[in-house]
Amino acid sequence: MKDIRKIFIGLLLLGIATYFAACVKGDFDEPPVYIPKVDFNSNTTIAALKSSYKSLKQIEEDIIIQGIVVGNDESGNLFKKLIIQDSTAGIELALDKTNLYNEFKLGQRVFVKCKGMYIGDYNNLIQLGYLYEGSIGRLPEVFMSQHIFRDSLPGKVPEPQLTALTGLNTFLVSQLVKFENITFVDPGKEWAPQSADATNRSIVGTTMVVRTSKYANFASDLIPAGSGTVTGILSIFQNTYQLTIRDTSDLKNFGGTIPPPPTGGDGSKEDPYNVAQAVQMQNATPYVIGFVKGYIVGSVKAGVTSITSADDIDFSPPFTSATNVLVADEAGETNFMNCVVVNLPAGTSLRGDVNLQNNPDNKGKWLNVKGTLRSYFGIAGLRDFSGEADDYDFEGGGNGGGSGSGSGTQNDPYDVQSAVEKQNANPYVVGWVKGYIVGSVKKDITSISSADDIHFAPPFTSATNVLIADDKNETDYTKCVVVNLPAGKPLRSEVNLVDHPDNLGKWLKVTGTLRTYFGIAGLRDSNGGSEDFELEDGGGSGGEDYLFVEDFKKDLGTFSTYSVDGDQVWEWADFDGGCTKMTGFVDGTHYVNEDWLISPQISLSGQTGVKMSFREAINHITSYNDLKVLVSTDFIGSGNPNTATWNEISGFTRAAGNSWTFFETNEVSLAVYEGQNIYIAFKYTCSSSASSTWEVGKVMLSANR
Amino acid sequence: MALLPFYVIYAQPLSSDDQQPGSVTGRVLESQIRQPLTSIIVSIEGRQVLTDHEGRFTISGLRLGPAEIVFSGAGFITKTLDIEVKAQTRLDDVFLIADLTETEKIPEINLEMIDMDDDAKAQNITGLLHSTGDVFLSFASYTFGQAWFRNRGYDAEFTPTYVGNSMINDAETGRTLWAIWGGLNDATRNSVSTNGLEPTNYSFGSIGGVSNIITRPSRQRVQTKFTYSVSNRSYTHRLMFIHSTGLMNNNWAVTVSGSRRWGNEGYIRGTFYDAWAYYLGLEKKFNDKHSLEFTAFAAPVKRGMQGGSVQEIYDLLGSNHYSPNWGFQNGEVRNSRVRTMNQPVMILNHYWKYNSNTDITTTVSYMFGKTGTTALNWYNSADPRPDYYRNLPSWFADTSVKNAVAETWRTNSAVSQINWDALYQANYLSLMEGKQARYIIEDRRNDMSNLNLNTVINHRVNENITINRGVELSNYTVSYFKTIDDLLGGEFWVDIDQFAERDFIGNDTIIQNDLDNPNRIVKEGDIFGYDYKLRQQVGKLWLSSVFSYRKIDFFVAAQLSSTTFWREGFMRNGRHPEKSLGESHKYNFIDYALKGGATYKFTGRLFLEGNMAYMTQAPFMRNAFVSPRTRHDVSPKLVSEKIFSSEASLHFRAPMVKARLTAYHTEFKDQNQILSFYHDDYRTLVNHIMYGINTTHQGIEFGGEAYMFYDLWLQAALNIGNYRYTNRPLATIAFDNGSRPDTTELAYLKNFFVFGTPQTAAALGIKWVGPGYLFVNASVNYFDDIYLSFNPERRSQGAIENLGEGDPRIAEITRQETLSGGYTVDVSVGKSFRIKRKYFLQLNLSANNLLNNKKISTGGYEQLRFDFQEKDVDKFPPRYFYMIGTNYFLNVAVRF
Repeated sequence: MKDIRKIFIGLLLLGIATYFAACVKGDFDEPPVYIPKVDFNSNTTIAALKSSYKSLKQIEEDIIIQGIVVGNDESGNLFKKLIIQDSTAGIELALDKTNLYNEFKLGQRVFVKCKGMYIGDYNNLIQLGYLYEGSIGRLPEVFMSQHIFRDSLPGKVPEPQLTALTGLNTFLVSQLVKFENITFVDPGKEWAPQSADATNRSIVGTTMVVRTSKYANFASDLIPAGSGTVTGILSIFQNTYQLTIRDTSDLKNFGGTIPPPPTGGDGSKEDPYNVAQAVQMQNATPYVIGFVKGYIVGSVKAGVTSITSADDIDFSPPFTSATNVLVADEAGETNFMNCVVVNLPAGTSLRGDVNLQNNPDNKGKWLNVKGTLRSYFGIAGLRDFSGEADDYDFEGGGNGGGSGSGSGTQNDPYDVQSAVEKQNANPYVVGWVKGYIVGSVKKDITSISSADDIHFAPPFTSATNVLIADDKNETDYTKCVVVNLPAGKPLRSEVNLVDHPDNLGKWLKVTGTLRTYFGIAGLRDSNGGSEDFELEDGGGSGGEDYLFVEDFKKDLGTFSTYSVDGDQVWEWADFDGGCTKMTGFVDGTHYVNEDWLISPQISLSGQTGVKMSFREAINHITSYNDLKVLVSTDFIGSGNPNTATWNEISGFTRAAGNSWTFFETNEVSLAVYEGQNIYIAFKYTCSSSASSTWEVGKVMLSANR
Repeated sequence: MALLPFYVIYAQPLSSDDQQPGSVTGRVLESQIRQPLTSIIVSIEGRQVLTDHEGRFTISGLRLGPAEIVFSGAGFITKTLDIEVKAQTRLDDVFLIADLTETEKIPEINLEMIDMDDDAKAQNITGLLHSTGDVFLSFASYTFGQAWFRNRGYDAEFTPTYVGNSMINDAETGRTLWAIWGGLNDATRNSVSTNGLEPTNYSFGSIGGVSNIITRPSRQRVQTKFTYSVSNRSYTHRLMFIHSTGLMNNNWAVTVSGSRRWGNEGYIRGTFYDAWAYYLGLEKKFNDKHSLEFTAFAAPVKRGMQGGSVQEIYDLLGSNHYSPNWGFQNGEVRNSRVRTMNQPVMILNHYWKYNSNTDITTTVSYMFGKTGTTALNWYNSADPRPDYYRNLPSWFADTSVKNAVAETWRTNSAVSQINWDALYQANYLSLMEGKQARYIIEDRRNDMSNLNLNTVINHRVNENITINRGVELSNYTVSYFKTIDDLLGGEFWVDIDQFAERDFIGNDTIIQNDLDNPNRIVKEGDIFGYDYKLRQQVGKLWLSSVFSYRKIDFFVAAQLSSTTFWREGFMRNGRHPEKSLGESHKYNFIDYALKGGATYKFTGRLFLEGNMAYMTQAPFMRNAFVSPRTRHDVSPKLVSEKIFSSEASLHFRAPMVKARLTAYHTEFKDQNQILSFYHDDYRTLVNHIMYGINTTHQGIEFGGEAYMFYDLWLQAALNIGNYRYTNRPLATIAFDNGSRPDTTELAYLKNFFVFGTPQTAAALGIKWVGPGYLFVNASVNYFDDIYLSFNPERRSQGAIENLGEGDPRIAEITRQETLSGGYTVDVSVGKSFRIKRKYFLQLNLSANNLLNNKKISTGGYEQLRFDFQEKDVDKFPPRYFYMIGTNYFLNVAVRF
């Protein structure tokens, strides 16, 4: 009991002592809202300050200005600067501090004691700041408290000044301005790709650009289509006006739908960009240079300097200007937004051959021309033509401009007429040609000089060559191409008419060099492998009519890759006669990866019975879920594929997953996508704990003929 | 017969077949009130027993002839007697004098008070609780502690601590959690410790020695005591109370204790302290065979933490103790880094005397509760930390700007400390626009729970051989999550990762911390950011056998253990959606450990001891998971560490001179180290994983004391160490949000010094017991060979790329910085008064660092970033910690 008493007393004493000693601070008072107030007044308007500016100087007078913050760094589009504006003008404050917006909200009244600060201009943009390496720079943060004063809580932001595109003047610079009926040249593109610090975007009908920093939190948002109202801070760089939007809430009433990205070529002469692509790639950083092919639809009216309506263009004779033509993907196009203005430099054969003023018949013909994709007459343009005759072709003229078709790719081979026209070019044209087998050169003939030198019917005496033509019944050897069949190769063993007289009349698609053979048009130097040709009903890379084949023979071919995660990427390898390979396993370590191998757009328009198969090898498999074959109809052709919808193509029998042996899958029907344009993707994923190796060989899509 | 503690090896009367016929019995009493003393360690020729609750002891199996007997216990002056051992020696009562200068030897100043979250390995002072009277350990555990001395340079994980027979180390890091019994100094005073590889009978131990705090109420000193203390260290005031009944006639023993420690500011500005502690111990002796003990204690504490800073600011402000953690709010000091901890522990012990030669002790313990540390967080706002490098004068190139910034640092506390009022205003302005708070205080929680089950069997085979064996099972869970502690005037916060938002513009998925609840609005008290548990299950089976003969003692011990740990995530993280939610792979390690040693007794006064151990040890979770906040990933090479350790000691014990000289050599192989830090350059969190690290720790320890004259003893302690890295480990740098690919590189660390401890430490002191219970201790201490923790990235090929051979910058970049050591002087004085025969008033004052030397570095770390472009090592200077200046501790106690 004595112990209980002692314990009790002890606890009591401890409690009492603690009661008197409970002095450790608890919760803290919340400070009240601070309402800043200045006890002085401004004595100069911003307009007066700016108009007195001549050149960089330190302000020695007791100048005090005041203004309301109309632009700050909240979205990241403006950096280390505030734009303030009074009823007379606006000015940019260059301040060496980030996250200014936490203190200087839009609508915040600010007083600036200018004495001691510097005023200067950066390429004609007047700024108030400090000296930095002999030029105007930012006011160091430590001096801000002596110069920049907030007054009262943030209030209303001044209404932006409604301005016409034609009404721009330096007085408006650094003010909040608003433009109505603005149409952007590049709808659907990102405001500012991460590849450049900042990106200028053109507006139809003006040289003013919208400039956006890659650090803006809306940098990857897409430029809206249609027309709408745009608010922003007007700025100037040398003599170009620039508009800075503060965030996307500065864009209003844009209702247009963003056009789907065009499909088309790669800008080479053989596979030129189409016009829709050329419009999309305008004014990229750096500029895109390449061939664009389209139909000539008109030319800009004489005297017009900037196209703002269809009235500025001659879509029909009489054509009043010879300096340019408009090309479009449709021969009947009259919407200038779907056109590219091609500059025809004076003194070039391009102008002489193509201009509509002198050649009104050229309207409706196709033109394929190389230049730089940059704005012209305020809309999409193609400029800086080299003057080289090789740099353009047009229907019925230009450099060898013939009437043949095809671009020489496996998917779009030259026809025989085209192959005849492209003989012995400098450099030689190498490409795919497709035609019907019509015969072979007689044995012992070395040079064809008449139809007698050729067997157009059995018996055939030479296995070293076949003649192909666009017409199955062609007997005019000038409309034929002699295809060399190299000894010991499948091309010879499967195609030659001596062993296979049945091949007469079948189509043959083959790749080689277009140069003279037996004294007439020829196709030579083919490797002759099974991947180098296709023959109707068998032989080559399939006995079916392949809608699409990619064999990755020497590179990734028409496929592109996209790495969502991880350092490792799809790479070409020489297994299985060429394939593409992906693994996340390097030097004994597994690295997390998500990598896509994506086909070009494949049109299933008008196709029936479309089936797909492919060759693959898989080793160290983790899960087939990490090695998916996908199809999309809404992928835009580039960029992160995860932004599109992809459906898995199931039903393939897949490679076993534990060997390097290639395996050809069964065919899986893609009938549900018929009539649509699709992309096919091979999506590889792995973790840091395990990763498989996936090699994809030939990819084949067949269709009913 | 007396109820003996289970861990006493030789406490039994002689059996008939004993080869050594000598035995000694006696009683130990407190000198002033002649109260029997329990849990006093009595040793003869290396054999030890503890006194029972009546102060009695018996040691048998002794060689006949002259011998030395030593009595030691925490809080008492060690006493040594020369006796003649006979067949049945009965000693007169032995009186021990309470040493009032020793009352504060439970570490009060330690690194827990310092904010080390950013550092590689938060360090801790040696965990050795000394009560063995070893002079070196006595200095090492307290005097050297102020310089963050670690015994033999080992990490704390190699010096485990048991409380009430249950291991209390944090399973995630291996560190001893001193704070969980802070303020309960009297109740946790009794302990037994071993040094180095010496065997114990309650566990296999480790390479750095092991301690067990004796919680048993029947072993507590019978007393009622009030203590009041004043200090300028971490707290200002302390009140303590303890009442212990000893074993009462009804066979119950009760210990009750409580304390409060508080202060608005410690030695370092902004470090408030607010702690309570309570303790209850109950023991019931059922019969001579069975006793049951229940002990529960907790020490809830809330305190402001110190932060280190850069030398530039120390020099600018003229103080090496500037802390950037605090600032003024409404004119009051507020600390942004507040640690709150309340981890109660409950222990149930069953003591079973199976027969006269066998004791079985079974322990169940459970720890639970919560631990949290607050920190500032901010969203699209300026870094609010005053010493953020862009706020330092050195950041500015222009001299006038530099000077102006320096001036504001000197004169404006809104610049040199956290400007709380500005943070509130930013939140208010944001709220007016209906937007989220820009600045918040978050509470980063790591709530531990640990269930332990131990059984130990101590069996004496015969007079020469004892076998100890045991099973230890533990189930440990730590819950990591953070909550909003204070919105600072804002109304909500959005749970996205702002660094990912910046790295992946326009990607709304990857920025989510909780992908299943995207853009979640969180308010005060809500969990956000991350939420996961680390779980570990350990099972150990150990055996040791001690052989004791006239000329030689030796032992062998072995342990087999299984460790399984895994992560369980409760949020699907947007950066790692596939590997953040649910349970990770379970990592299992089977480890073994072997040790053995021998002591050869030249005479009763001179022993030579040699011990060796080889062990493998599963990696700690802290060094296994690369970034557990976001994902399951582990270090690329996750294997057990291998440790080889050996030591040789020469002991000399005479009435006037006592000394030990030890040489040690330990090799660690395949160590792992994971550093996570916010990389200001990449502006994102990165994880730096080093694996396959090898180090060697070798050195000599000396401790000794000699009687001079007039009750004056001269004491000396010395450690000369050489702790180095011995290979070039691989390092992988992983970006937490996956914004860049991982890179792996070689870290050129060969021959670098192990950091975070003085490798040389020495002390020379005197000890004097004057008339009328007046005690004086004084020592001069010396610390040297202190090295800065280094950034391995700076010791990679990339760091010196493009520098020509012989470029002086190469050495500048790669060399390891040596920190400043120095001398300190400590003095403590104590006096005891007897009042009305029954009450005792005890006074003691200890003052450390009387020379007020504020230049001794206690450590620091290089920032884990490096200016790869300009190769300027001064661009991101290291952060340093310094020993505090003169500090005191005044203690007044009344005991009855």
